[in-house]
Amino acid sequence: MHQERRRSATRLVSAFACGAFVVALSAPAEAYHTDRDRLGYGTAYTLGKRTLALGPFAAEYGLFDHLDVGTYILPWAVRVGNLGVKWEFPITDRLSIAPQLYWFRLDVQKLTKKSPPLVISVVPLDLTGSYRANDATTVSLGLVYTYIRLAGTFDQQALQGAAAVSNLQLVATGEYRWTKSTALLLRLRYLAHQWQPTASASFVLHPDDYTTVQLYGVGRLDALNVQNAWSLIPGVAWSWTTFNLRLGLGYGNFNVPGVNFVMPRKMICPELDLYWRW
Amino acid sequence: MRTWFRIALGLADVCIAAPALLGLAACGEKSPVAKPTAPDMAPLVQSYEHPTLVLDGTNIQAAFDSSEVVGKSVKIAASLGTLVHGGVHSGVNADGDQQQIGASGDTSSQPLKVTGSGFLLVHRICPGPDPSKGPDAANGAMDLTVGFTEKGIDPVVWGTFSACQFTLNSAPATVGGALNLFVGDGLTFDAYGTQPVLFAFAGDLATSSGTGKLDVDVRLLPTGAYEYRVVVGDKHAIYWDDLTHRGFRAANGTWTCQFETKQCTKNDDGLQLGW
Repeated sequence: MHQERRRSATRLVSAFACGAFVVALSAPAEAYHTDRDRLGYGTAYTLGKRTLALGPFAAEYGLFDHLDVGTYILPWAVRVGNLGVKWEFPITDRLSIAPQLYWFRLDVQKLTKKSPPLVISVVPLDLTGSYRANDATTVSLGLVYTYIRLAGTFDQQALQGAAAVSNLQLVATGEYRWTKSTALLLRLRYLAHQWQPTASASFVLHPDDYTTVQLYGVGRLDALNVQNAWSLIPGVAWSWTTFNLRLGLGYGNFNVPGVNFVMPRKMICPELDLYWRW
Repeated sequence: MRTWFRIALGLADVCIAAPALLGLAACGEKSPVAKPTAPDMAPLVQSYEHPTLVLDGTNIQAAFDSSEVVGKSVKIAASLGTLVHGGVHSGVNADGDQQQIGASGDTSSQPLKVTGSGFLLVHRICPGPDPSKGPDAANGAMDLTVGFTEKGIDPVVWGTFSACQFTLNSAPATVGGALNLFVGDGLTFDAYGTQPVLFAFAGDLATSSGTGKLDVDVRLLPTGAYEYRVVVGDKHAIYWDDLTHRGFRAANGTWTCQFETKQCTKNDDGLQLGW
Protein backbone atom coordinates (compact mmCIF):
# COMPACT_ATOMS: atom_id res chain seq x y z
CA MET A 1 0.00 0.00 0.00
CA HIS A 2 2.84 2.30 0.93
CA GLN A 3 4.67 1.58 -2.30
CA GLU A 4 1.48 2.28 -4.22
CA ARG A 5 1.15 5.60 -2.46
CA ARG A 6 4.74 6.37 -3.35
CA ARG A 7 4.14 5.51 -7.00
CA SER A 8 1.04 7.63 -6.93
CA ALA A 9 2.95 10.47 -5.33
CA THR A 10 5.69 10.13 -7.92
CA ARG A 11 3.17 10.46 -10.74
CA LEU A 12 1.63 13.45 -9.06
CA VAL A 13 5.06 14.99 -8.56
CA SER A 14 5.74 14.52 -12.25
CA ALA A 15 2.42 16.05 -13.19
CA PHE A 16 2.95 19.01 -10.94
CA ALA A 17 6.54 19.40 -12.04
CA CYS A 18 5.26 19.50 -15.60
CA GLY A 19 2.58 21.98 -14.64
CA ALA A 20 5.00 24.10 -12.65
CA PHE A 21 7.48 24.08 -15.52
CA VAL A 22 4.80 25.05 -17.97
CA VAL A 23 3.60 27.87 -15.77
CA ALA A 24 7.18 28.87 -15.07
CA LEU A 25 7.79 29.29 -18.75
CA SER A 26 4.66 31.29 -19.18
CA ALA A 27 5.71 34.75 -18.16
CA PRO A 28 3.50 37.47 -19.63
CA ALA A 29 4.50 39.22 -22.78
CA GLU A 30 6.89 42.15 -22.99
CA ALA A 31 7.14 44.80 -25.64
CA TYR A 32 9.43 46.78 -27.98
CA HIS A 33 12.06 49.07 -26.57
CA THR A 34 10.43 52.32 -27.65
CA ASP A 35 8.69 55.07 -25.78
CA ARG A 36 5.37 53.53 -26.68
CA ASP A 37 6.26 49.89 -26.33
CA ARG A 38 7.61 48.82 -22.99
CA LEU A 39 8.22 45.68 -21.03
CA GLY A 40 5.04 44.45 -19.44
CA TYR A 41 6.14 41.75 -17.00
CA GLY A 42 6.88 43.23 -13.60
CA THR A 43 5.98 46.75 -14.72
CA ALA A 44 2.87 48.93 -14.81
CA TYR A 45 2.80 49.13 -18.61
CA THR A 46 0.12 47.77 -20.93
CA LEU A 47 0.18 46.91 -24.63
CA GLY A 48 -2.02 49.62 -26.07
CA LYS A 49 -5.35 49.47 -27.85
CA ARG A 50 -5.89 46.63 -30.34
CA THR A 51 -2.42 45.24 -29.86
CA LEU A 52 -1.86 41.51 -29.63
CA ALA A 53 1.11 39.81 -27.99
CA LEU A 54 1.12 36.12 -28.72
CA GLY A 55 3.66 33.46 -27.87
CA PRO A 56 3.69 29.82 -26.91
CA PHE A 57 3.43 30.74 -23.27
CA ALA A 58 0.93 33.56 -23.10
CA ALA A 59 -1.52 35.68 -25.07
CA GLU A 60 -2.40 39.25 -24.23
CA TYR A 61 -4.60 41.73 -26.00
CA GLY A 62 -5.03 45.46 -25.50
CA LEU A 63 -8.75 46.06 -25.31
CA PHE A 64 -8.28 49.76 -24.72
CA ASP A 65 -5.34 52.14 -24.54
CA HIS A 66 -4.54 51.11 -21.00
CA LEU A 67 -6.43 47.90 -20.43
CA ASP A 68 -5.09 44.45 -21.31
CA VAL A 69 -6.66 41.06 -20.97
CA GLY A 70 -4.54 37.96 -21.08
CA THR A 71 -4.10 34.31 -20.39
CA TYR A 72 -1.24 31.90 -19.95
CA ILE A 73 -1.52 29.45 -22.83
CA LEU A 74 0.47 26.40 -21.88
CA PRO A 75 -1.21 25.93 -18.49
CA TRP A 76 -4.41 25.21 -20.42
CA ALA A 77 -2.66 22.14 -21.82
CA VAL A 78 -2.51 20.75 -18.30
CA ARG A 79 -6.03 21.99 -17.58
CA VAL A 80 -5.08 25.01 -15.56
CA GLY A 81 -7.74 27.53 -16.47
CA ASN A 82 -6.62 31.12 -16.12
CA LEU A 83 -7.56 34.65 -17.12
CA GLY A 84 -6.27 38.07 -16.22
CA VAL A 85 -6.72 41.80 -16.64
CA LYS A 86 -4.31 44.70 -16.22
CA TRP A 87 -5.29 48.33 -16.00
CA GLU A 88 -2.65 51.02 -16.37
CA PHE A 89 -3.06 54.49 -14.95
CA PRO A 90 -0.50 56.91 -16.43
CA ILE A 91 -0.04 59.43 -13.65
CA THR A 92 2.55 61.61 -15.34
CA ASP A 93 4.76 61.24 -18.38
CA ARG A 94 7.22 59.35 -16.22
CA LEU A 95 5.03 57.55 -13.72
CA SER A 96 2.39 54.88 -14.17
CA ILE A 97 0.66 52.60 -11.75
CA ALA A 98 -1.30 49.50 -12.63
CA PRO A 99 -3.40 47.04 -10.70
CA GLN A 100 -3.48 43.58 -12.22
CA LEU A 101 -5.82 40.75 -11.37
CA TYR A 102 -5.48 37.13 -12.45
CA TRP A 103 -7.34 33.95 -11.71
CA PHE A 104 -6.17 30.35 -11.94
CA ARG A 105 -8.01 27.15 -11.26
CA LEU A 106 -6.33 23.77 -11.08
CA ASP A 107 -8.18 20.52 -10.51
CA VAL A 108 -5.32 18.24 -9.58
CA GLN A 109 -7.31 15.09 -10.18
CA LYS A 110 -7.62 16.04 -13.84
CA LEU A 111 -3.86 15.89 -14.03
CA THR A 112 -3.73 12.46 -12.51
CA LYS A 113 -6.65 10.31 -11.48
CA LYS A 114 -4.69 8.79 -8.63
CA SER A 115 -4.06 12.06 -6.87
CA PRO A 116 -6.10 12.96 -3.84
CA PRO A 117 -8.99 15.29 -4.67
CA LEU A 118 -7.73 18.85 -4.65
CA VAL A 119 -8.79 22.04 -6.39
CA ILE A 120 -6.41 24.97 -6.13
CA SER A 121 -7.81 28.42 -6.85
CA VAL A 122 -5.25 31.19 -7.17
CA VAL A 123 -6.06 34.89 -7.42
CA PRO A 124 -2.99 37.11 -7.67
CA LEU A 125 -3.69 40.81 -7.26
CA ASP A 126 -0.81 43.16 -7.71
CA LEU A 127 -0.28 46.89 -7.72
CA THR A 128 2.81 48.03 -9.58
CA GLY A 129 4.27 51.44 -10.07
CA SER A 130 6.80 52.17 -12.82
CA TYR A 131 8.95 55.27 -12.96
CA ARG A 132 11.02 56.25 -15.98
CA ALA A 133 14.09 57.96 -14.56
CA ASN A 134 15.38 58.76 -18.03
CA ASP A 135 15.09 57.42 -21.56
CA ALA A 136 17.13 54.33 -20.72
CA THR A 137 16.23 53.55 -17.15
CA THR A 138 12.94 52.40 -15.67
CA VAL A 139 12.37 51.29 -12.13
CA SER A 140 9.26 49.35 -11.09
CA LEU A 141 8.02 48.43 -7.64
CA GLY A 142 5.21 45.99 -7.13
CA LEU A 143 3.14 44.74 -4.23
CA VAL A 144 1.74 41.31 -5.08
CA TYR A 145 -0.93 39.69 -2.94
CA THR A 146 -1.80 36.15 -3.98
CA TYR A 147 -4.87 34.54 -2.54
CA ILE A 148 -4.68 30.77 -2.73
CA ARG A 149 -7.60 28.58 -1.78
CA LEU A 150 -7.21 24.85 -1.41
CA ALA A 151 -10.24 22.60 -1.44
CA GLY A 152 -9.52 18.95 -0.93
CA THR A 153 -6.43 17.14 0.20
CA PHE A 154 -3.13 18.95 -0.15
CA ASP A 155 -0.16 16.62 -0.19
CA GLN A 156 2.87 18.82 0.08
CA GLN A 157 5.08 16.01 -1.18
CA ALA A 158 3.09 16.06 -4.42
CA LEU A 159 3.95 19.73 -4.94
CA GLN A 160 7.63 19.08 -4.33
CA GLY A 161 7.47 21.09 -1.17
CA ALA A 162 6.12 24.23 -2.81
CA ALA A 163 4.28 26.45 -0.37
CA ALA A 164 0.92 26.90 -2.03
CA VAL A 165 -0.43 29.32 0.54
CA SER A 166 -1.63 32.89 0.27
CA ASN A 167 1.24 35.31 0.38
CA LEU A 168 2.38 38.87 -0.10
CA GLN A 169 5.45 39.59 -2.19
CA LEU A 170 7.44 42.69 -2.97
CA VAL A 171 8.92 42.82 -6.45
CA ALA A 172 11.41 45.36 -7.74
CA THR A 173 12.43 45.42 -11.39
CA GLY A 174 15.09 47.56 -12.93
CA GLU A 175 15.42 47.99 -16.71
CA TYR A 176 18.30 49.57 -18.54
CA ARG A 177 17.99 49.95 -22.30
CA TRP A 178 21.43 49.18 -23.58
CA THR A 179 20.64 49.34 -27.27
CA LYS A 180 17.45 49.76 -29.26
CA SER A 181 16.92 46.04 -29.28
CA THR A 182 18.60 45.00 -26.03
CA ALA A 183 17.62 45.82 -22.48
CA LEU A 184 19.26 44.63 -19.27
CA LEU A 185 17.01 43.60 -16.41
CA LEU A 186 17.39 42.96 -12.73
CA ARG A 187 14.52 41.58 -10.68
CA LEU A 188 14.42 41.25 -6.90
CA ARG A 189 11.56 39.37 -5.31
CA TYR A 190 10.94 39.11 -1.57
CA LEU A 191 8.32 37.09 0.25
CA ALA A 192 7.02 39.56 2.84
CA HIS A 193 4.29 37.47 4.43
CA GLN A 194 2.46 34.18 4.22
CA TRP A 195 -1.05 33.46 5.39
CA GLN A 196 -1.76 30.09 6.89
CA PRO A 197 -3.84 27.51 5.06
CA THR A 198 -7.59 27.57 5.46
CA ALA A 199 -9.74 24.85 6.94
CA SER A 200 -11.26 24.10 3.55
CA ALA A 201 -8.43 21.72 2.83
CA SER A 202 -6.77 18.83 4.52
CA PHE A 203 -3.02 18.49 4.49
CA VAL A 204 -0.95 15.37 4.11
CA LEU A 205 2.35 15.26 5.95
CA HIS A 206 5.03 12.58 5.90
CA PRO A 207 6.94 12.80 9.16
CA ASP A 208 8.79 9.53 8.50
CA ASP A 209 8.83 6.58 6.14
CA TYR A 210 6.29 4.66 8.22
CA THR A 211 3.79 7.41 8.85
CA THR A 212 1.34 9.45 6.82
CA VAL A 213 -0.59 12.13 8.64
CA GLN A 214 -3.69 13.73 7.22
CA LEU A 215 -4.51 16.98 8.99
CA TYR A 216 -7.94 18.59 8.97
CA GLY A 217 -8.06 22.15 10.27
CA VAL A 218 -4.89 24.00 11.05
CA GLY A 219 -3.72 27.22 12.59
CA ARG A 220 -0.08 27.47 11.72
CA LEU A 221 1.77 24.79 9.84
CA ASP A 222 5.50 25.28 9.69
CA ALA A 223 5.75 22.60 7.01
CA LEU A 224 4.21 25.19 4.67
CA ASN A 225 6.05 28.13 6.12
CA VAL A 226 8.80 29.40 3.84
CA GLN A 227 10.77 32.02 5.69
CA ASN A 228 13.20 34.57 4.33
CA ALA A 229 12.37 33.71 0.74
CA TRP A 230 13.85 35.89 -1.96
CA SER A 231 15.27 35.68 -5.44
CA LEU A 232 17.51 37.90 -7.51
CA ILE A 233 17.39 37.37 -11.25
CA PRO A 234 19.43 39.32 -13.81
CA GLY A 235 18.19 39.03 -17.36
CA VAL A 236 18.20 40.35 -20.88
CA ALA A 237 15.23 41.33 -23.05
CA TRP A 238 15.63 41.51 -26.82
CA SER A 239 13.12 43.14 -29.10
CA TRP A 240 13.11 42.97 -32.89
CA THR A 241 10.51 43.89 -35.47
CA THR A 242 7.81 41.75 -34.03
CA PHE A 243 9.69 39.06 -32.15
CA ASN A 244 10.58 39.46 -28.48
CA LEU A 245 12.73 37.27 -26.27
CA ARG A 246 13.54 37.50 -22.59
CA LEU A 247 16.04 35.35 -20.74
CA GLY A 248 17.03 35.47 -17.11
CA LEU A 249 19.10 33.39 -14.75
CA GLY A 250 19.40 34.05 -11.05
CA TYR A 251 19.38 32.53 -7.61
CA GLY A 252 16.98 32.26 -4.70
CA ASN A 253 13.65 30.71 -3.84
CA PHE A 254 12.02 29.94 -7.14
CA ASN A 255 8.64 31.59 -7.51
CA VAL A 256 6.28 29.82 -9.88
CA PRO A 257 5.20 32.72 -12.09
CA GLY A 258 1.55 33.58 -12.12
CA VAL A 259 0.44 31.37 -9.27
CA ASN A 260 3.26 32.57 -6.97
CA PHE A 261 3.95 29.28 -5.22
CA VAL A 262 7.28 29.65 -3.45
CA MET A 263 9.77 26.80 -3.36
CA PRO A 264 11.27 26.26 0.09
CA ARG A 265 14.80 25.63 -1.18
CA LYS A 266 17.05 28.19 -2.78
CA MET A 267 18.17 27.21 -6.25
CA ILE A 268 19.16 28.50 -9.67
CA CYS A 269 16.12 30.32 -11.03
CA PRO A 270 15.56 30.57 -14.80
CA GLU A 271 13.25 32.95 -16.64
CA LEU A 272 12.18 32.62 -20.25
CA ASP A 273 9.59 34.34 -22.38
CA LEU A 274 9.14 34.73 -26.12
CA TYR A 275 6.31 36.17 -28.17
CA TRP A 276 5.33 38.04 -31.31
CA ARG A 277 3.59 41.36 -31.21
CA TRP A 278 1.22 42.83 -33.76
CA MET B 1 -5.51 67.77 -9.84
CA ARG B 2 -5.86 65.42 -12.76
CA THR B 3 -2.84 63.48 -11.52
CA TRP B 4 -4.27 63.00 -8.06
CA PHE B 5 -7.57 62.00 -9.56
CA ARG B 6 -5.85 59.27 -11.53
CA ILE B 7 -3.98 58.06 -8.45
CA ALA B 8 -7.23 58.00 -6.50
CA LEU B 9 -8.93 56.12 -9.30
CA GLY B 10 -6.15 53.56 -9.36
CA LEU B 11 -6.24 53.02 -5.63
CA ALA B 12 -10.02 52.84 -5.72
CA ASP B 13 -9.75 50.04 -8.22
CA VAL B 14 -7.54 48.10 -5.83
CA CYS B 15 -9.74 48.91 -2.86
CA ILE B 16 -12.78 47.59 -4.69
CA ALA B 17 -11.02 44.44 -5.81
CA ALA B 18 -9.35 43.61 -2.50
CA PRO B 19 -12.47 43.31 -0.37
CA ALA B 20 -14.06 41.24 -3.09
CA LEU B 21 -11.14 38.88 -2.94
CA LEU B 22 -11.12 38.85 0.82
CA GLY B 23 -14.82 38.14 0.65
CA LEU B 24 -14.08 35.17 -1.54
CA ALA B 25 -11.50 34.10 0.98
CA ALA B 26 -13.98 34.28 3.80
CA CYS B 27 -16.72 32.42 2.00
CA GLY B 28 -17.24 28.75 2.55
CA GLU B 29 -14.27 28.13 4.80
CA LYS B 30 -15.83 25.13 6.40
CA SER B 31 -13.81 22.12 7.35
CA PRO B 32 -14.09 19.61 4.50
CA VAL B 33 -14.81 16.76 6.88
CA ALA B 34 -16.70 16.96 10.15
CA LYS B 35 -14.66 16.19 13.21
CA PRO B 36 -15.43 12.63 14.26
CA THR B 37 -16.77 11.90 17.73
CA ALA B 38 -14.41 10.09 20.03
CA PRO B 39 -15.46 6.95 21.91
CA ASP B 40 -16.62 7.51 25.46
CA MET B 41 -13.86 6.40 27.81
CA ALA B 42 -15.29 8.14 30.85
CA PRO B 43 -16.56 4.95 32.54
CA LEU B 44 -13.17 3.29 32.18
CA VAL B 45 -11.34 6.40 33.40
CA GLN B 46 -13.69 6.57 36.38
CA SER B 47 -13.07 2.93 37.19
CA TYR B 48 -9.34 3.63 37.40
CA GLU B 49 -9.95 6.67 39.59
CA HIS B 50 -12.41 4.98 41.90
CA PRO B 51 -11.78 1.29 42.62
CA THR B 52 -14.80 -0.37 44.21
CA LEU B 53 -13.24 -3.34 45.98
CA VAL B 54 -12.71 -3.03 49.73
CA LEU B 55 -9.56 -5.07 50.14
CA ASP B 56 -9.59 -7.39 53.15
CA GLY B 57 -8.64 -10.86 54.23
CA THR B 58 -11.56 -12.43 52.42
CA ASN B 59 -10.63 -11.20 48.94
CA ILE B 60 -6.90 -10.50 48.96
CA GLN B 61 -6.14 -13.98 47.61
CA ALA B 62 -8.62 -13.53 44.75
CA ALA B 63 -7.21 -10.11 43.95
CA PHE B 64 -3.72 -11.54 43.78
CA ASP B 65 -4.83 -14.42 41.54
CA SER B 66 -6.65 -12.00 39.23
CA SER B 67 -3.56 -9.79 38.97
CA GLU B 68 -1.50 -12.78 37.90
CA VAL B 69 -3.95 -13.73 35.15
CA VAL B 70 -4.56 -10.23 33.84
CA GLY B 71 -0.87 -9.41 34.06
CA LYS B 72 -0.04 -11.67 31.13
CA SER B 73 -2.42 -9.77 28.86
CA VAL B 74 -1.20 -6.46 30.22
CA LYS B 75 2.37 -7.18 29.13
CA ILE B 76 1.06 -7.67 25.59
CA ALA B 77 -1.01 -4.51 25.88
CA ALA B 78 2.07 -2.60 26.98
CA SER B 79 3.82 -3.67 23.76
CA LEU B 80 0.84 -2.52 21.73
CA GLY B 81 0.79 0.71 23.69
CA THR B 82 4.36 1.35 22.65
CA LEU B 83 3.37 0.93 19.00
CA VAL B 84 0.46 3.31 19.44
CA HIS B 85 2.63 5.80 21.24
CA GLY B 86 4.98 5.87 18.23
CA GLY B 87 2.07 6.61 15.91
CA VAL B 88 0.60 9.36 18.03
CA HIS B 89 4.00 10.90 18.61
CA SER B 90 4.71 11.01 14.88
CA GLY B 91 1.28 12.54 14.28
CA VAL B 92 1.48 15.34 16.80
CA ASN B 93 5.07 16.07 15.81
CA ALA B 94 4.47 15.96 12.06
CA ASP B 95 5.20 19.61 11.45
CA GLY B 96 8.52 20.99 10.21
CA ASP B 97 10.60 20.70 7.09
CA GLN B 98 9.20 17.62 5.38
CA GLN B 99 12.36 17.14 3.37
CA GLN B 100 14.37 16.78 6.55
CA ILE B 101 11.95 14.89 8.72
CA GLY B 102 12.90 11.26 8.71
CA ALA B 103 16.53 12.08 8.10
CA SER B 104 19.02 11.09 10.75
CA GLY B 105 18.13 12.72 14.01
CA ASP B 106 14.67 13.93 12.93
CA THR B 107 15.88 17.41 13.67
CA SER B 108 13.07 19.09 11.77
CA SER B 109 10.23 17.27 13.47
CA GLN B 110 8.26 19.59 15.71
CA PRO B 111 4.90 19.73 17.41
CA LEU B 112 1.92 21.05 15.49
CA LYS B 113 0.77 24.54 16.34
CA VAL B 114 -2.92 25.08 15.85
CA THR B 115 -5.36 27.86 16.58
CA GLY B 116 -8.60 26.04 16.02
CA SER B 117 -10.34 22.73 16.13
CA GLY B 118 -9.46 19.81 13.89
CA PHE B 119 -8.13 16.29 13.81
CA LEU B 120 -5.34 14.11 12.50
CA LEU B 121 -5.69 10.81 10.74
CA VAL B 122 -2.47 8.95 11.34
CA HIS B 123 -1.68 5.95 9.18
CA ARG B 124 1.38 4.11 10.39
CA ILE B 125 2.87 0.99 8.90
CA CYS B 126 3.62 -1.67 11.50
CA PRO B 127 7.23 -2.69 12.09
CA GLY B 128 6.74 -6.29 10.98
CA PRO B 129 8.57 -9.36 12.21
CA ASP B 130 11.92 -7.85 11.22
CA PRO B 131 11.92 -4.08 11.83
CA SER B 132 15.40 -3.75 10.35
CA LYS B 133 13.93 -4.29 6.86
CA GLY B 134 12.18 -0.94 6.92
CA PRO B 135 8.59 -0.04 6.09
CA ASP B 136 6.51 -2.56 4.17
CA ALA B 137 2.77 -2.18 3.68
CA ALA B 138 2.46 -5.96 3.85
CA ASN B 139 3.21 -5.70 7.57
CA GLY B 140 -0.21 -4.17 8.21
CA ALA B 141 -0.89 -0.84 9.80
CA MET B 142 -2.57 1.08 12.51
CA ASP B 143 -4.88 3.99 11.87
CA LEU B 144 -5.40 6.56 14.57
CA THR B 145 -7.69 9.55 14.95
CA VAL B 146 -6.28 12.37 17.05
CA GLY B 147 -8.66 15.25 17.67
CA PHE B 148 -7.39 18.60 18.81
CA THR B 149 -8.34 22.13 19.71
CA GLU B 150 -6.10 25.11 20.25
CA LYS B 151 -5.84 23.95 23.87
CA GLY B 152 -4.14 20.74 22.82
CA ILE B 153 -4.91 17.12 22.09
CA ASP B 154 -8.45 15.92 22.74
CA PRO B 155 -8.64 13.52 25.71
CA VAL B 156 -9.32 10.40 23.63
CA VAL B 157 -7.27 9.04 20.73
CA TRP B 158 -8.72 6.04 18.98
CA GLY B 159 -8.20 3.76 16.04
CA THR B 160 -7.56 0.25 14.81
CA PHE B 161 -4.84 -2.26 14.19
CA SER B 162 -5.25 -3.97 10.81
CA ALA B 163 -3.30 -7.22 10.50
CA CYS B 164 -0.50 -5.43 12.25
CA GLN B 165 2.66 -7.47 12.47
CA PHE B 166 5.20 -6.79 15.18
CA THR B 167 7.51 -8.64 17.52
CA LEU B 168 6.31 -9.79 20.91
CA ASN B 169 9.05 -11.10 23.20
CA SER B 170 11.28 -11.35 20.11
CA ALA B 171 8.74 -13.58 18.32
CA PRO B 172 6.47 -12.59 15.40
CA ALA B 173 2.91 -11.66 16.30
CA THR B 174 -0.09 -10.21 14.48
CA VAL B 175 -2.79 -8.10 16.03
CA GLY B 176 -6.09 -6.73 14.78
CA GLY B 177 -8.81 -4.82 16.58
CA ALA B 178 -9.90 -1.55 18.11
CA LEU B 179 -7.88 0.61 20.44
CA ASN B 180 -8.66 3.62 22.61
CA LEU B 181 -6.21 5.85 24.37
CA PHE B 182 -7.07 8.34 27.10
CA VAL B 183 -4.33 10.95 27.22
CA GLY B 184 -5.96 13.35 29.69
CA ASP B 185 -7.52 16.77 29.43
CA GLY B 186 -5.69 19.78 28.04
CA LEU B 187 -2.54 17.93 27.00
CA THR B 188 -0.54 20.17 24.68
CA PHE B 189 1.11 18.74 21.57
CA ASP B 190 4.60 19.12 22.94
CA ALA B 191 3.64 17.49 26.24
CA TYR B 192 2.51 14.24 24.68
CA GLY B 193 4.49 11.38 26.20
CA THR B 194 5.07 13.14 29.51
CA GLN B 195 1.76 12.19 31.12
CA PRO B 196 0.11 8.84 31.94
CA VAL B 197 -2.10 7.34 29.25
CA LEU B 198 -4.88 4.83 29.66
CA PHE B 199 -4.76 2.27 26.87
CA ALA B 200 -7.60 -0.12 26.03
CA PHE B 201 -7.63 -2.76 23.32
CA ALA B 202 -10.19 -5.31 22.13
CA GLY B 203 -9.37 -7.66 19.28
CA ASP B 204 -7.42 -10.71 18.21
CA LEU B 205 -3.83 -11.63 18.74
CA ALA B 206 -2.03 -14.31 16.76
CA THR B 207 1.29 -15.70 17.93
CA SER B 208 3.23 -18.87 17.21
CA SER B 209 1.20 -20.56 19.93
CA GLY B 210 -2.16 -19.74 18.39
CA THR B 211 -4.84 -17.09 17.96
CA GLY B 212 -6.95 -15.72 20.74
CA LYS B 213 -9.10 -12.85 21.89
CA LEU B 214 -7.42 -10.00 23.71
CA ASP B 215 -9.50 -7.57 25.74
CA VAL B 216 -7.37 -5.52 28.07
CA ASP B 217 -6.77 -2.09 29.50
CA VAL B 218 -3.77 -0.64 31.26
CA ARG B 219 -2.58 2.76 32.42
CA LEU B 220 0.99 3.42 31.31
CA LEU B 221 3.20 6.03 32.93
CA PRO B 222 6.17 7.71 31.21
CA THR B 223 8.48 6.24 33.86
CA GLY B 224 7.62 2.70 32.76
CA ALA B 225 5.31 2.21 35.72
CA TYR B 226 1.87 0.83 35.02
CA GLU B 227 -1.39 -0.19 36.61
CA TYR B 228 -4.38 -2.24 35.64
CA ARG B 229 -7.72 -3.41 36.90
CA VAL B 230 -8.24 -6.68 38.74
CA VAL B 231 -11.77 -7.89 39.17
CA VAL B 232 -13.10 -9.79 42.17
CA GLY B 233 -16.76 -10.64 41.81
CA ASP B 234 -18.50 -7.46 40.71
CA LYS B 235 -15.90 -5.23 42.34
CA HIS B 236 -12.47 -4.18 41.18
CA ALA B 237 -9.19 -2.89 42.52
CA ILE B 238 -6.20 -1.41 40.70
CA TYR B 239 -2.96 -3.34 40.63
CA TRP B 240 0.02 -0.98 40.45
CA ASP B 241 3.73 -1.45 39.77
CA ASP B 242 6.11 1.52 39.89
CA LEU B 243 9.10 -0.70 39.04
CA THR B 244 10.26 -0.53 42.66
CA HIS B 245 7.17 -1.49 44.58
CA ARG B 246 3.90 -3.21 43.78
CA GLY B 247 0.48 -3.37 45.32
CA PHE B 248 -3.18 -2.48 45.03
CA ARG B 249 -5.31 0.63 45.08
CA ALA B 250 -8.63 -0.29 46.59
CA ALA B 251 -11.73 1.45 47.87
CA ASN B 252 -10.21 1.44 51.34
CA GLY B 253 -6.81 2.84 50.41
CA THR B 254 -3.52 2.05 48.75
CA TRP B 255 -1.65 -1.08 49.70
CA THR B 256 1.97 -2.02 49.11
CA CYS B 257 2.49 -5.75 48.83
CA GLN B 258 5.28 -8.30 49.14
CA PHE B 259 3.95 -10.93 46.77
CA GLU B 260 6.77 -13.33 47.61
CA THR B 261 5.72 -13.37 51.26
CA LYS B 262 2.03 -12.87 50.40
CA GLN B 263 1.61 -9.84 52.58
CA CYS B 264 0.22 -6.36 51.94
CA THR B 265 0.56 -3.25 54.08
CA LYS B 266 -1.81 -0.34 53.94
CA ASN B 267 0.17 2.80 53.20
CA ASP B 268 -1.62 5.26 55.45
CA ASP B 269 -2.03 3.28 58.69
CA GLY B 270 0.23 0.25 58.41
CA LEU B 271 -2.64 -2.26 58.54
CA GLN B 272 -1.48 -5.64 57.26
CA LEU B 273 -3.19 -8.35 55.22
CA GLY B 274 -1.90 -11.82 54.36
CA TRP B 275 -3.08 -14.77 52.39
